[in-house]
Amino acid sequence: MGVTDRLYSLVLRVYPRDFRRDREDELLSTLAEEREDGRRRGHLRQIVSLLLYGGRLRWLRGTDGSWTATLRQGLMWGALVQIALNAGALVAKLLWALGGALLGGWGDRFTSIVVFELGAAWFCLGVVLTVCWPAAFLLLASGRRRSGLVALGAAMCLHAAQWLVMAGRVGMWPPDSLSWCSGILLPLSPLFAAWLWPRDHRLTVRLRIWILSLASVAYLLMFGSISVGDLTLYWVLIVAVPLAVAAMGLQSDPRWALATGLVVIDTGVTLALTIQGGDLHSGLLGFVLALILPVTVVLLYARRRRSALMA
Amino acid sequence: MREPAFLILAVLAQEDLHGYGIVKKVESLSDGEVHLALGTLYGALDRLGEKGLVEVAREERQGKRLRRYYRLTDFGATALRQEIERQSRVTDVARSNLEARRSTGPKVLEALTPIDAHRLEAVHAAL
Repeated sequence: MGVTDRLYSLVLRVYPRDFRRDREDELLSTLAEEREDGRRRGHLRQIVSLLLYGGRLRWLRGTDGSWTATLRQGLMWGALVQIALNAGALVAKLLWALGGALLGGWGDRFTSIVVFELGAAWFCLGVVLTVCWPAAFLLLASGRRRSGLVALGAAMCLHAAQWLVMAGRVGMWPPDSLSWCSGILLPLSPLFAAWLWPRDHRLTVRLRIWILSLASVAYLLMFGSISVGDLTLYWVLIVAVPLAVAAMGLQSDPRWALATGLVVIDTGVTLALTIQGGDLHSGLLGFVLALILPVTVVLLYARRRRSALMA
Repeated sequence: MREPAFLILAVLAQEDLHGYGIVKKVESLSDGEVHLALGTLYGALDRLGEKGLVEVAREERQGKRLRRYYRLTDFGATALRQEIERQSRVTDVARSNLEARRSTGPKVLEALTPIDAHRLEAVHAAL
């Protein structure tokens, strides 16, 4: 396989796996025939065209034409963006804490970590939402129903997640031992659920409702948001959307549940770092937790992926 | 119907073709103006396939090389015929509008000064 073929194979990684399985040889053959025919122009054009179509397939994947499935796809995309933001924040936080340990601290560590993370996450969320809402309305108005509904779902999910971040981060957590346990166990629970759940066994609607309800209550209890008083119902609604995404993901594909676990795992690391004094230098437990959580995620995902490939 | 889809249906109306065959025929049909990139080609083929306008006729495999031939379905032929008729109607209307515009030309000229009318007639003749 030549360099050009390798390049195109790399580009085709953008496409969903089932598409690649069915069409990769055909696409590469067509590209090879074009090259053999002396048409050497337009490599960049071909690559851009392939990337755009691959992106479109990914964007609309799982949409069977019904509006519920299409909207659900959008919610999934919103969750995925949220996962990416949280993963970015997690890496930044670990680097920040590691730098603090090496240099002897960052001064007011708690404030540094929270402000740094909040600022970055809110900025990115703001940018995505600024694009997502108008895009959804423009697409729907121009008659592109499927793409519009996906964008609408993503915007809804991200908007809800924006408030979820607020509920979880702004001084809501009480630093006592019970909350510390729940702060670690709750983020890990969807992860282990996804790990242990049989791949070929689908959840019933009733069980999904139970998961959703229990997770909502646990989350609200953990972060003390119930004490907000009149706003309790508001918070329940806000929290329910991302958890619904998690429950649906658990039902349709364990990989999504695994990924959704990453959305909340970041909170566990924040708690560990905060309770241990704000950086990795002041507590071994915080360091171990901060290191173990992402490593566990990666290992579990790799194991899941390997078993899926073998199946 | 968008232009790539129309052109693909048009070339498949003649014979079954594989991916690169379609690219070449479309380029030839459009006098070299349309060169389908692969994302556009396979995107259009997938959409046409979903609508039942084209289907896979056969496959030829040589090692890693795979040629998949596509053909126009009966439904696709009907859709192509309807699209041609629609475009013909639009073309007819456009042509008659243009002729009507030409026929109103002298009336406009009468209202102009002799010098302006002379210049406008020169432009008309040049066109």
